[in-house]
Amino acid sequence: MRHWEAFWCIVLKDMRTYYLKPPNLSWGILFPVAWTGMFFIRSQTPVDIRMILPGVMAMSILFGTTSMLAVTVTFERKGRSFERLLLSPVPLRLLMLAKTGGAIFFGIVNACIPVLIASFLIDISGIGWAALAGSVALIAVSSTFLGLFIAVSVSEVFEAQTFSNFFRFPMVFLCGLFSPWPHCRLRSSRSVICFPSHTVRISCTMRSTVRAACRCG
Amino acid sequence: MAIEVSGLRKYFGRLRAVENVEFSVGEGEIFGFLGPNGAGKTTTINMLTGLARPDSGRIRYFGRDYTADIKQAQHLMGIVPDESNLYPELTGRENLKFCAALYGMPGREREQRSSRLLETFGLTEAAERKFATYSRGMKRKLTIAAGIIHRPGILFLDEPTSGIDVASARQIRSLLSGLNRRGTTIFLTTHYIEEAERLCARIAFIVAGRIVRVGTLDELMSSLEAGHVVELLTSAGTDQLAAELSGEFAGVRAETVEPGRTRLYCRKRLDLAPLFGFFERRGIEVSEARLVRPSLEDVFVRVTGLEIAKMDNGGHRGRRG
Repeated sequence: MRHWEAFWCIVLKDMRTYYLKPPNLSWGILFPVAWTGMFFIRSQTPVDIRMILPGVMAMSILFGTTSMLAVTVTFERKGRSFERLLLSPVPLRLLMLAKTGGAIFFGIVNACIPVLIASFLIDISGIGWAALAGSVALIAVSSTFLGLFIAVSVSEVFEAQTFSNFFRFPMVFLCGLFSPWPHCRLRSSRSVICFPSHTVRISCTMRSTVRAACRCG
Repeated sequence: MAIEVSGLRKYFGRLRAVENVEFSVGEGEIFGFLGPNGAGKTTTINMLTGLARPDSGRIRYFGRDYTADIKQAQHLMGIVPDESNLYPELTGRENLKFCAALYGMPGREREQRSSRLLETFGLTEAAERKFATYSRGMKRKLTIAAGIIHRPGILFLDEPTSGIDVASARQIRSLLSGLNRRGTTIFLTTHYIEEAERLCARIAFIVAGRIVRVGTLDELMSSLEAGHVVELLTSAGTDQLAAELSGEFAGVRAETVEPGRTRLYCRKRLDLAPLFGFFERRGIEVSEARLVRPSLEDVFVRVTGLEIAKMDNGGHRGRRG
């Protein structure tokens, strides 16, 4: 019980302290917003937005969570405040859960931005919200752990961002967001950004598909 | 015993960091851990606090063996690193409350304890300011306050007064003495020998990863070859007089430092009455006689210098810096 109190304090402190840090602001918030705007403006019809939305959401989460970890872990390791956490009696697993928990939450919040923007442009009533929430959580968890792997491998925040881009950008290209390359998409089907974005896509079209099936039936 | 360490050993690859480190620290004691740069002080502290895992050896706190899981002992200790490592974005009060939360302190107690410590350390006025805006001395004080927020039985302090002004350093030393009087065991590493001399009851010297001397100040001082040194200020004093002194008193070596100032070196305590008689017979007036004690710095230089020379002769090179 005492440790859970420490857990919440770490999560809340990270949220308060790091959510609006410059690297996080640029890569984690502004970047996904810019991408979302770019794709939505480019789209000609509401159907296009619905098709693009899962990919943009997945990307927002990926960039948000990996940037967040780069800040919370790398910043603290550099300033040696991470040592303070390691020297506290909080179990190591709970400590890492607290550090990643904030990033997962941040990723989920990031995923809401494209949905919010899309809600002004298209009818989003066909989305299966439960399935979408599950898929978003799945992407947030998997990309947070990718971010953690990167954050513990480097010592500077800029190194973490650069190293993250070695993973993030190839994933964006491989998943076929820009061009529908069937071979690449097939090979990247197991990547952090692709497989969950498929599930997001399914959940985004779930109700309309079910409705269409009912009508046909 | 608050801390008992035996056979502690740590290698980084083929580089020896510490080897067979052994010492014990009594409850309520201030124990100094001194050594030149790269001697293994930080590695030892890291192993004692759980930041590094020893290759072998035992670590016991208050009689219980925690070697396999130091995490279980972390609630017993407060750690103040050589660099202040609190959160620059949080205020002084928020930092203390956060540190208290890490040790599972309930909300109300966190608030009370933080306020009390801010007051004790003279930081109440700066409590709502961000840590990043604090001066170096204030940062140091708040870091110490954060180290004792959960009332630990043992406090590890790494260079507590390094790089801060004299007034702040004095205040910190006085706060540490106060903490110790209330029963906190303090494990102190410092480069300031004078500080160790003032604060510590016992001191260990570590050189090249090995403990070379442990003892009270008196024990360490008496370990110097020089033994007792008595300095006399006299109305006259020559090399001839020094030679006569050496001849008359067995086990005493006299040396004229300058005319009228003579130093007597002896292994045992010197009886002053026959000495004054010696000068009286020669019509020489003695205006002052004082015991010249070797400083801890003399002992430190002698011990560490000797040991380094021994190690180099022994071919123990390639140790970790």
